[in-house]
Amino acid sequence: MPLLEIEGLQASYGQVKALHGISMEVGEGNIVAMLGANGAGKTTTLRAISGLIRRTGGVRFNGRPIDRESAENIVRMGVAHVPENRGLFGQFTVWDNLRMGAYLRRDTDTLKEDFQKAFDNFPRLGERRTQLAATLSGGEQQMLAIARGLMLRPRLLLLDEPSLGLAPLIVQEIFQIIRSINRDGGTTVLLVEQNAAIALSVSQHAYVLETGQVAVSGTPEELRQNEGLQKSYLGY
Amino acid sequence: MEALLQQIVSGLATGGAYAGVALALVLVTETGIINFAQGEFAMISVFVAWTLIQCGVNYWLAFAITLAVSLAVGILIERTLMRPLEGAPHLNSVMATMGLMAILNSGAGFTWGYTIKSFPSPFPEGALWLGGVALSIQHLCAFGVTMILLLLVFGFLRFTKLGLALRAAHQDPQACRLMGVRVGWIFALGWGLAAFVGASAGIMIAPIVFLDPSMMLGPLLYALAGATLGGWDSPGGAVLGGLLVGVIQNLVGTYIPFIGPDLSFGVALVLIVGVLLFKPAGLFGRVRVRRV
Repeated sequence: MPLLEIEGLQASYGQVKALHGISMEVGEGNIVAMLGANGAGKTTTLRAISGLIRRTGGVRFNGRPIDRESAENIVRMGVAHVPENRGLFGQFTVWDNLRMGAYLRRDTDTLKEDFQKAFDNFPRLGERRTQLAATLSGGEQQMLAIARGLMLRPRLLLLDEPSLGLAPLIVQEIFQIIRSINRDGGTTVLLVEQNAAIALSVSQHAYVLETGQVAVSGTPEELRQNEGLQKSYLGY
Repeated sequence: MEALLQQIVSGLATGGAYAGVALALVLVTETGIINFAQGEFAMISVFVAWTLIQCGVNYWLAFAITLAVSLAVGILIERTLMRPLEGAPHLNSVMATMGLMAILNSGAGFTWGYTIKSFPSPFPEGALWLGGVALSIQHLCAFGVTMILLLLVFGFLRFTKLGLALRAAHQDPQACRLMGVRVGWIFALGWGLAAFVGASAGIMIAPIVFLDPSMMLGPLLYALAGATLGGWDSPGGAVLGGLLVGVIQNLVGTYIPFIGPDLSFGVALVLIVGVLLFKPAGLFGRVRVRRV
């Protein structure tokens, strides 16, 4: 059974329908990429999964329907969403942002290790733990957003465009960490990206969205060989 | 010099109450609005405490019961009256608090009457002589109790997870939900804490200003001035601002003869306008840091 199953997911912004019945599966332990042009509905799909917007259709997490649950409850089931624009608390320090990420944690003993783990994963955050999040560089902010999401010890991590606005070297660094989170930590990742090349390089499966629908899906290998797809969606 | 010190200390006593109400206002501002009924909340609390004491309840027991009830009622009011306005323009909520202010004021008049009542002070009368300066023990103690309660609230905001969430909800409610915070309840908690702080400030100031349904109108205005002076996004600044306003009010009333007690309301307004013109973030308010 896949960890996340989506079937016929629909969502609207006011009168405008943004998702026209999306179906996808994310297997436990995988990294799954969601690709597509601007406005294809990638971010909306993540928001619909994590309960930030109203949606209809079936979403099951770990076999349990979550499409009527509130965002607060879905987090409690172990789904961490690192949103578009990162959603950091800019006037909090790095440390307090991580504390917020651990808001639901009750296990204070093991929590200490996780703070340490965050600083092992992202040494630069360790150096800046007392700095206000708003004053970090873009790359550091993205690292903090991911580190904060991991403080929940999620089973599923939803990542919205971690490469957005970052220099290529930083993007490489962040994707290495995403890979190690998945490989070493066993965290399942659903990754939204514009940068198709790098997203395909880390994922086991990918979906390409177009105007609120899944246009194509397959393994990275299959998508790379699909020439029409390369021209129209992936742009390389 | 002695007179000056005396004026400062008695200014601190009333300033402590302004500081309490100012902190209450700032706690509610976390939810995006100013609660103009904050003073009336405190006034009702004082009447509740007065009624309990009249029924023979021990002063400090009445004090504790009133604070607990205020906390609960503050939460309840947010959940029942303000919640339906969530998502509406903030002006709607602010107008609702204005309405609440009028209702509570006349409700208190209807229930307890408009005659001015005296409120007991648990502290001994008399003065503490400090190098030729007589400081009122009642004023000092009222100030002390208010400060202790404010420190408690600060400890809560700074060192507890709920306090952290309360401050986070102010910055980004949606990100807060993604951390698993039930933001609606956090906002309600802000209202409850505000009512708690306001109640203690009201009870401490009641022996000085006496008890009647309009007793908190002045303190509310001074608290608004204090919060503006200290900075609306800085709880500590609001407290210091409230204290400063209390002292300034007293000094100005004493040393600038033509102002006297009549124009001291005006002092608060001049302060508000002046601060907004020359230092809009207030003395301790953060000018938002942002990397561009």
